[in-house]
Amino acid sequence: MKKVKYIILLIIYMLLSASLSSMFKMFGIIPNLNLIIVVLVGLMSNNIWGLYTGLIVGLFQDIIFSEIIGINALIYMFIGYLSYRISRKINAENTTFAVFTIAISSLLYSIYIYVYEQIFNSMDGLFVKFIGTYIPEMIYTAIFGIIVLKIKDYASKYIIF
Amino acid sequence: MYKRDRSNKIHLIIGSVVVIVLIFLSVRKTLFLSNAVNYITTPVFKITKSVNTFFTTKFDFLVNIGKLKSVNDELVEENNKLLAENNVLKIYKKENEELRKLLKLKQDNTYEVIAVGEVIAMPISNWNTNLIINVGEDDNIKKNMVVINSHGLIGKIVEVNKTTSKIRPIIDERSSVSCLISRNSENVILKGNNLSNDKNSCKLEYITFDADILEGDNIITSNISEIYPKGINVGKVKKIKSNDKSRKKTVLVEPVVNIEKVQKVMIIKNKHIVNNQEDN
Repeated sequence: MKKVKYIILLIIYMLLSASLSSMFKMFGIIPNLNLIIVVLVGLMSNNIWGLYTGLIVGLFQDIIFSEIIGINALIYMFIGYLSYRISRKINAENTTFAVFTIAISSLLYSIYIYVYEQIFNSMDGLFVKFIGTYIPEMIYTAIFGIIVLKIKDYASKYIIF
Repeated sequence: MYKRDRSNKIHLIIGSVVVIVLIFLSVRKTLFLSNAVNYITTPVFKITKSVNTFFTTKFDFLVNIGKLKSVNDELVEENNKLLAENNVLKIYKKENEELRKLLKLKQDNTYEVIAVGEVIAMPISNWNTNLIINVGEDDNIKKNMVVINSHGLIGKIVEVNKTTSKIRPIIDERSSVSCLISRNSENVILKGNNLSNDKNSCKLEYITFDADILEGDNIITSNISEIYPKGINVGKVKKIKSNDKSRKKTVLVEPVVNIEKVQKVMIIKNKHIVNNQEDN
C-alpha cells in the first residue's frame, strides 16, 4: 500500500514538474526538478527506492521529451543509487549535505549529457557551456533543492500522509 | 549487510541492462510505450497549459492596460503603411507571374500546410529544448517535416507519436540549418546556441574570416538543404565578434520567432521526406 501511494505521489510530482518547470525559467536556465527528487529519495530512504525513483522519473522524462528513450533514465538511476550509498556511508541528514549532494549530482548529470551529446551529435565549446549552463544550472537546482526540502519539512510536520 | 549490498548491485545491473536495451530499441522507431504514456500526459498538459495561458494573458493585460491606446495608434499607422505596400506588391506579383509564364520558368512552390498545431509542453531541461505539439500521426505528420509560424522558421519534427509530435527548434545546439544571407546570397550554416550565454540565439558556422556579413543582415533558408524549403525567414544578424589573431569570426543570429513564446505552429511539407535519414 505504501508503495502504491508513493508511486501515485511520484506520478503527480512528475506531471507537475513536466508542465510547470518551464515557468521557473530564470535567465534562460531551468532548474532540474526531477534530479532533486531522485537525490532526496536516494538520501532519505533506507532501501533501494532511490534507484527505482531515478529509473521511473528518467523514463518518464525521456518518453515525453527526448527522441531516444533511456538516456536520462540511466543517469538518474545511477544518481539515485549513488546518493543511497552515500547516505549509508555518511549518514548525515542535514540540509547542507543534501543541497551539496544535489549540486554535485547536477554537475555529474551535465557532464554525462555533454559526453553523450559529444559522441552522437558532436558539440563543441566545453568552456562556454560550463559558464553558460553548467554552473548556473547547478546553483539554481541547489536553490530549488532547499525550497523542496523546506516544503518536505513543512509537509511532514503539518500534513499526515 | 554484504548480502544487501550485493542484491542492490544486482538491481542496478538489471536496471541498466533494461535501459540500454530500451535505448537501442528506441533509436530506430517510436515505441508503443511512448504512445501509451502520451495518451495519459497530453490531456494533463493541455489543462495546465490553458490554466497557465489564462493567468499569463490576464497578467499581461493588467500590466499593459495603460499602453493600449498608444500601441493601438501605432498599429493603425503601421497597418495603413502595410496596406499601401501590399497593393504595390500585388501588382509586382502579377507582373512576376506573367513574366515567369513568358519565360516558361517553373512556378515556385508555395509551402503546403499539412496541419496547424498548438504547443502543449515547453522543455523541462536545458539540454533538450524539444517542444511538444498536439498534432501527430493521426494528422498526417511525418518525421523531418518543417515547422513554421507566421513570422518564420521554428524547427523541424524529430519524433511523431499518435497524437503528439516533438519539435527540435533552431535554437537547440543539435540543430543545424543550411541558410543564406538575403543581401548577397552567401551560403551559411546556422546552428543552435542555447547552452552558451546568449540563450535565445543561434550562431553561424563555417564562415571565412573575410565573409561579407554585416549586423542586421537577414538570414533565410537556402535551396541546398534536403529538408527546409527555400526562402523561409530565419533571423537577423545580431552581433559579430572578430578575432584578428586567430582569424576567426563569431556571428550571433537572433531568430525572428521567439521560441519561448510560441503558441500556434504550422507544419509544412519538406522538400523530400527522407525516411530514416537525419539531416540534423
